[in-house]
Amino acid sequence: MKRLNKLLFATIAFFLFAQSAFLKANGPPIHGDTAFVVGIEGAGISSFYQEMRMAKLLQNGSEITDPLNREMRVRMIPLMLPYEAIPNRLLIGLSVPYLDKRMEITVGNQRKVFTNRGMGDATLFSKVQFYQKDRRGGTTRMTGKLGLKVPTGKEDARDESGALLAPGLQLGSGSWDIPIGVVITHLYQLWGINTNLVYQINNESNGFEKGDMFRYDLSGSIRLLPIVYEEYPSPQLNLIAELNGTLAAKDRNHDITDPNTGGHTLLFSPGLQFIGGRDWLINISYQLPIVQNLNGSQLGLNQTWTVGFLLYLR
Amino acid sequence: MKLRKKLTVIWTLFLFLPTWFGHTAEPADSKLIKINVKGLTCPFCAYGLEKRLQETGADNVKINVDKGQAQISYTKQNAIDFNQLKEAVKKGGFTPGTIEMNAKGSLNQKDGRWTFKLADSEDLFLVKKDEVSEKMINEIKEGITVRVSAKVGSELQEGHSEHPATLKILSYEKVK
Repeated sequence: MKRLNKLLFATIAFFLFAQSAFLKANGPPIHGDTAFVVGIEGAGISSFYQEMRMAKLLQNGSEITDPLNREMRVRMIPLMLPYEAIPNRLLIGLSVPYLDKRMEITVGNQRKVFTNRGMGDATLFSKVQFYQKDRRGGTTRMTGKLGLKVPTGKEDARDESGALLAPGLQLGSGSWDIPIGVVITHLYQLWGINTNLVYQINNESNGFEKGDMFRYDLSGSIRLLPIVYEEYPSPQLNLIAELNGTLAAKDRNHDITDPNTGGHTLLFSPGLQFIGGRDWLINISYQLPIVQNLNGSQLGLNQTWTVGFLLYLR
Repeated sequence: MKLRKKLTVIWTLFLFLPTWFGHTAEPADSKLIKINVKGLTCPFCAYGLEKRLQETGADNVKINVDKGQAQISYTKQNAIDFNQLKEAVKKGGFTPGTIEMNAKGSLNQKDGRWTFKLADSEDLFLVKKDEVSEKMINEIKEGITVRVSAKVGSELQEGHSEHPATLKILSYEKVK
């Protein structure tokens, strides 16, 4: 509880500092999104390596002893190809993840390992900017988002004994899902904020339906270097802080609601971003859960590491 | 051998430094356009703007994010299409504000109006009447080359298709 208070205090202090300090020269969020659909002027390529570790059993939000000593690790490398189809209006793109999932459990005295790796579900995405209000040294933009998650990932992987792996260990969901949302970016040279709100409608496949999800992200950044941004392009180091939340509904399996699914997770995500030139950046981020109110009994997230890049193609 | 390696690294860094920090030499005799760009707050978003402005035939484009200004210089290209420049800013994702120009040209009088003709170009501008322009007209004789720093008016002059824009003179100097 003390740690939670400290983190919340750190988050509030960061945003207060960001608003009172020199939040000039913002970079795009690492986990959230920006309403800007420009900058690419053509095509781009972006990817990251993300490692997620889940090794604590939560019962209605509180940690309990896990008799199976479960530990899950998910590694993800998505490849995202955005394309600015209509200048300053429409961005379209494709995202395909490579997934490497590993689950360990103790049954009796034996440690059992289940693994599954390969390409996951691809997502076609689009962003349409519908509001833009520019002023000297500031801008407010709003962008609508619509996507389609296509079931390209394998959904029927089995273990050595031939039993179907749990849905969380499958690479694909088998369903056609629709993420729809809005991004609001409000930037001044002295402060700025990006808000990303996405609702994902998940559909049924082979009797299983993952609960719908609502994702909310809030992000801000402070330029650490250079102190004075004299001329574009200058190498730049940004400190980024994000709050990434997810509200998930319960899954349904053959019309039976699974009580041990869904809930609310809020992650605090500090990160560093280095913009090396006019057309590339790299970033690193650490995500720590500050709220995990999960339904029933579920494996909670310990932490996530992300290292990524974005490159604009000339 | 170690020293040689070190020197190679230092030399390579030295070669890349100008590109890294974006410093380029400013041509001495160019037409310089400054556009105030509304909404310019993030350098990473300025990439598209820079590319769009370069497509207008500019020899050099400099973006000042903190000032919210794009500085474009032309040496090879004679005529300047201000509407094209504004369109480039819009396509780059921003809103064009006031435009300032620093260029050489000559003053001419036609039908009681004073015009400014860009050197090496057929571009004509109507000179807005005010204290500074009256002083300039009195000092500079017709046909003499002068370098002016002026605000380019966005309003089109109806019925004067050959006068696409107006100039509000900010400062001037006679070119020897």
